[in-house]
This record gives sequence, structure tokens and C-alpha cells, in this order.
Amino acid sequence: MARYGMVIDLRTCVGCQACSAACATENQTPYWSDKWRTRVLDIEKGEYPNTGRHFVPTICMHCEEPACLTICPSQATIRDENGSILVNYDTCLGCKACMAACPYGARYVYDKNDVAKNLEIHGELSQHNVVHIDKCTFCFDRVERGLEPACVATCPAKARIFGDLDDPNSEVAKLVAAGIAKPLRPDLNTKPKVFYIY
Amino acid sequence: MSVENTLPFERQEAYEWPLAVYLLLGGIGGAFISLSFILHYLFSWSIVGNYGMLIGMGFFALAGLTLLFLDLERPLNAIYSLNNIKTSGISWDVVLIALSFGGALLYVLPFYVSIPVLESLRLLFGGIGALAGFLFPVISGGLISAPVSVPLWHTPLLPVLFLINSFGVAFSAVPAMFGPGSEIFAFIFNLAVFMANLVISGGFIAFYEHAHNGPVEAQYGFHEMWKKFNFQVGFLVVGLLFPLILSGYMFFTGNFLSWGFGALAVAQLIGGIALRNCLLKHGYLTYPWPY
Ligand code: SF4
Ligand code: SF4
Repeated sequence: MARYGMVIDLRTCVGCQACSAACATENQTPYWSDKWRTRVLDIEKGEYPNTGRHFVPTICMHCEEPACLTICPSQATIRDENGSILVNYDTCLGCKACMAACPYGARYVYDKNDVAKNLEIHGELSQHNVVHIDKCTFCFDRVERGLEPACVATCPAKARIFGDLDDPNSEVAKLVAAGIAKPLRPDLNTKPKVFYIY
Repeated sequence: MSVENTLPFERQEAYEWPLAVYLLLGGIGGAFISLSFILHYLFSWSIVGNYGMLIGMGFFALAGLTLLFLDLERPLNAIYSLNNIKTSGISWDVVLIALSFGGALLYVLPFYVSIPVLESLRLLFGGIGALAGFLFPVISGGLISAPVSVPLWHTPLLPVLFLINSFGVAFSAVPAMFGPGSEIFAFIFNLAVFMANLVISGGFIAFYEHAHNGPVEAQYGFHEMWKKFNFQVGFLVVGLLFPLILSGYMFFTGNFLSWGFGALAVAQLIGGIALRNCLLKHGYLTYPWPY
């Protein structure tokens, strides 16, 4: 089995938000409520005139020691065979403990208004029929079909690279092994599988 | 440049006031059940053993069944919350509520109907209810403080503060409701409240230190919390200073004012809810980003 991970190159991200739009379309996430599985933070730093703008795409880190997984009382948060962290919509009780535990702000509530709106837009093709806590799935259904996650396939700046961290020939494995791509907040010990070049 | 302008804090809007009230009522419910059991079992104070337990059960019912249940996005799925008993503290919270509630119920029943088998096992049921009631504020405080990702909460002080506050309320509410019984009991109840508030003051100073020497998110969260009227007046003045001064006055003068215990209970109740609410509202900052 693979151990999927992602590298995000902050040097090349142009902040176009194409990844957010692609993800929302692919996964029917509630953009109308300003809730996203992947967002691009637009951060201004420094004091005038020495200011700089930085774009930081965020996503579920599919941690190897996920805080969300251990805290979930209903085992609605699960790890699939490729190490991706998923949510079973049917057994999620919406206690939001996983939202509180996730250090990366990766989760949000897909509430009843969002479900109704999604049904209105997508009808029978709606992917979200019940209230649940939602987050990035590394587009597992696309990956199963041999495709890349929607955000990776869409990024015009090639700022996102997806692959198997256990395959020494994959680009992600090489970047991580060389120490070029690093996790955010490794001190939290969640062992993220999304790495950043910055 | 202030922290505010440079750091993009992440703030998860997961919990609102119902959870703060849940934590308060659940803690007080547990404390009532434990204290009522001790007073009845050790001192044969049957009116407290009976009605005190019922009041504790009422708090638990309000907290667990009403507030928490309604705060869930999908209340009926709560049935699955016992699924992960091996690793999830939340499951244990549910178990403790059930044990405390069930234990108290079986302890109280012989007051009303004669069931010999229940009477012979009364001590066991009461003990289970009392122990679970004692553990509830500890575990729920522990749950809130567990995520390393929320640095302001991430301290073992929280379970201690929750526990002591819950018992502080019970120690003043029991004599206010049922009468202190005797001069010596009034002295003991008041001493317990005074000690509880001394411990809370010490705990709070340690918490202040934790927030100020801890990560920047904790400092910022604490700073935000500190500025709020709710915190300054609700927790510090009403919930902490007033009970400390009043119970200290009664302790050192031996003058147990007729309104004293009632006022202490109400003040600590207000302080408890203010603290929990402020913590949930302003504690939620994380800073995972590299810039
Ligand atoms: S980033 Fe958050 S939601 Fe994703 S696996 Fe880690 S802890 Fe869970
Ligand atoms: S909200 Fe759902 S996925 Fe999150 S911890 Fe609760 S039951 Fe698990």
C-alpha cells in the first residue's frame, strides 16, 4: 500500500485560489458558507514600507499521529489503507472534538443548511446528504482512478506535488528525504504528511 | 508590531456557551452526588442523601441529556459515542454520567420503595455514583486541556480548577439549601469553601504563568480573555475575590452569616460559568503557519 503525502512549495504559490475552487467543485464543499477543505491564506507581514505578502495553502495534513483520530468517540474518523484520514459521514455525531483537536484548522461543520443547499444544487448527485464534520480526503476517489487530487491537478504554478512517501523514486519522497520540504509545527507530534517548502 | 498584526492565528469555532454550561452543570452534579453520599453515609444526614442526590441527578440530566445532546449536530448518533471506549475520553465522560446518575438513582430509590436487594447493595451503588461524580469534572477538564494544539488550555491545571470549583459550589449550596446542621458543620463547610477558593487563586496564578511563559498563542488568547468584562468581573471579582473574602471573614470571625452560604454558592456559580465560557471562547488559538 502507498503512504500518500503532499509537498506544497510556498515559493511558487501565486495565491490564485484555483486549488480552492477545484476542490470545492470536485468535492461539493460549501463555498457558499465560506467553508473550504483547502484555503490559501493571504498573509501580510512586516511594517510599511518593508511589507511582504505570503500565500500559504492549507489542507488536512493527513497526520500519521492524528489528534482527530484518537479523540473521535464514534470511530467516525478513520485511516484508510493508504494512510489518508477520512470521516465516515454516517456515524459522525458532530461532537466537534476533532475540530478542536486538529492543530491545522482542517475541519468544519457541513451543517443542515449546507446539506440543503448542496441538494438544491446537485440533486441526486449530491455527495453530502447528512450533517457531518468535513475535511480533505486527498481526493481518495480520484486517486483510486489513477488521477491526482483536484488541487494538485489544477495548480497552474505546480506548487503542489502529490505522491507516495514510501516510494523512494517519487518526487515527494525525495524532497522530504533531502530536508527541502518540512512539516509545519513538528513540535505538536502529529507527524503531518503534508510538507512545505519555504 | 503587535502579535495581532503579524500572526495569522487559526481559530476553530467549535464550541460555544452550551458546552461551558454543560461542563459547569455536570461538574456540580457530580460534586452534589459525591458530597450527598458522604454526608448521608458517614453522618446519617438523610435529607441531604435523598434530596442532594436528586439535585445532583437533576444537574446531570440538564447537562448531559439536554445541553450536550442538543449541542450535537446529530444527537441520535450519540449512540455511537460508546464505540471508542479504548481511546476516546469523550466516551468515558458518557460512561461516568451514566454511572453517577444510575448509582445515585439506585441509592435514592430505597427512600421511596422498599426493595431489600437494593437496600443491601446501597453502599455499593452510592459509592459508584459518588466516585463517578467525583471523576466527571476531572475527566471533562482533562478532555478540554488534552489537545496540544490549543496551548492556552493545554495544562493539567484545568481539571483541578474545574474539580475544585464544582466542589466549592456544592460545599456552599448544601448548607444553603439544607441548613448547616450544626456550628461545627458550618465551620467545616465554610473552611472547605475557603480552601477551595485559596486553591483556585493559586491555580489561577499558575495558569497566568503558564499563559505568559507558554507559546505565543496562549499569551494572545489569555490577553484577549483578560480584557473581557465577563472575565474581570464575572470570574475574578464575583467568582473568586468575593467568595474568598466572605468565606475568609466567616472563617476568621466565626460569624456564619445567614445569607453567607447562599451568596457563596451563587457567586461561585457565576464565576464558574464565566471562567469556562471565557476559556472556550478565547482559548482557541493555534498558530501552525511558518510566517
Ligand atoms: S490535519 Fe487535522 S484533521 Fe487532518 S489528520 Fe491532522 S489532526 Fe486530523
Ligand atoms: S465530530 Fe464526528 S468525526 Fe469529529 S470527533 Fe465527533 S464523531 Fe468524530
